[in-house]
Amino acid sequence: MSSSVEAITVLSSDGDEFKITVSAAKLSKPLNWMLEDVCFSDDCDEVPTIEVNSKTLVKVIEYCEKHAPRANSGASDSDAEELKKWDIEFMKMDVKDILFHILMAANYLHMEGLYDLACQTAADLMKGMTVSQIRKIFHIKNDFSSEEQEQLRRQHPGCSFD
Amino acid sequence: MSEVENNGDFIRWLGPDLSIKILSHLEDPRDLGRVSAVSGSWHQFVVENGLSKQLCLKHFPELSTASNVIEVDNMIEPIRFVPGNPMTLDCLKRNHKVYAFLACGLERNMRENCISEAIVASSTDNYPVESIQNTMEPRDRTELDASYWSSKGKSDPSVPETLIYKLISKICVVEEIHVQPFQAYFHNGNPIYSAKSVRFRMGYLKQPKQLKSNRIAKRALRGQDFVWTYTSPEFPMAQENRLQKFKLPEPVFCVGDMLLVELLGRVQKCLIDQLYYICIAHVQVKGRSLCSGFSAKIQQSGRCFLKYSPEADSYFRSPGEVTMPFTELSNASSRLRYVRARLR
Repeated sequence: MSSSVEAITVLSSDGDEFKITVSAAKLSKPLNWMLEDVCFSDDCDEVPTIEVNSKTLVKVIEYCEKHAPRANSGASDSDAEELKKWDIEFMKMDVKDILFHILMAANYLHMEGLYDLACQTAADLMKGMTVSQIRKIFHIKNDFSSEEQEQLRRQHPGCSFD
Repeated sequence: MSEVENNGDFIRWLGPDLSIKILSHLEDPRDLGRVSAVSGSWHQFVVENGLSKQLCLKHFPELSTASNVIEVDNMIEPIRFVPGNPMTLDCLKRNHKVYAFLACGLERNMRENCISEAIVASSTDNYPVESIQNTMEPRDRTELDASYWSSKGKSDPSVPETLIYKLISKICVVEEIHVQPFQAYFHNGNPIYSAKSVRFRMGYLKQPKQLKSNRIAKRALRGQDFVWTYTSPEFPMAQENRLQKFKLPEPVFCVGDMLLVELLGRVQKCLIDQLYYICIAHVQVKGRSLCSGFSAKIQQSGRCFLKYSPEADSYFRSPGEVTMPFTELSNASSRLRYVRARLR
């Protein structure tokens, strides 16, 4: 790999091309290995495929590009604070409908920060919710009999079910 | 994958590893409890992976030492767990019940004192002036008088004494027991009537009965009406007038609300009658108790049933509401306790 290369091209599982800077790609171990293995100079026409769909990959790359400067240099506390705020907004505004795709992608790409963030966001969807609200969020059918339901209520003191 | 697109049943789609990771981000046991009531498959997932236990131990790491007490039979039973036996589904189900209950039911904050009542002493020199009741008072004297319990005098310094207390709930997690010997500031030379050493037992009454009078309680003590589920090592006591802190080797998950303080050996003679005495100014128990609304019933076999009555749980009441109206309280002593609790 030539050191002059600053960005690489990758394919999503849908076959779309994406550019990602080398420093951002380093956030993911598998991508890092790819950088070492694959020839990215101009005369090489091999484009590696990442098994993540386009919609998700856009967001994963956005996350990587945002986090890359800090991951590579070690930024100040105020930067960390700013980044945290950005993470919250990132999860709130953009990825709610593809949260679990992000989570699987982060797992597959060994990106600990994004993985934790996605798990936390998924858990936050359930926090303080009643049982029926949780069912609604995740489109789950209640398959308990009323008897079982009553038993569960007794087993879980203080949990509001409705 | 279309279900994942709109946030479908993630436990089904993501598989166990990722789902466990998500659910382990839930901090409040009530949240996990609700998750386990969403559907049959979600319930099974939470139960089979022991997530309630994990969360409970995260909040109360001291309970890990009590696992042999909890993991056996119906709710809580003090029987040894047979090593090598695989965890059956039944066992996992029970674990889920117990840990889900305890995670919600144990108080988050450590209490400075878990004693609710002083019950009886093996002997009292001058009743009621030197009664065990005085050891509930942290100070060694009040505005009116000295405040301490005194044993009867003995010529043999090896004669032990015992004090029995009731804890505030039938399940407690006890970390430390503090005992302050009494210094007789009104005697010549200000002698400190400490014991040589001290040992603690915790347990329950075989037959639940009211230890109302001193005589009934004494008879219970002599007649071995107690089952002691825990016995501490013997701690040497210093002949010093301070609150001496005895930290148990590991936090004790105490089934039963009875505490026995054994005072072993006497060190101080009273110059007036040349007899050995033990005098104690204050006893306190540091640990966690059950939250309001949660209670336990212990059977003679040692089986312990956990109960929850939402009407007694102040958690769900508005802050302005009185938690326990006087009319609900049946007798005068609990009314008094209630008043004390309100004053604190």
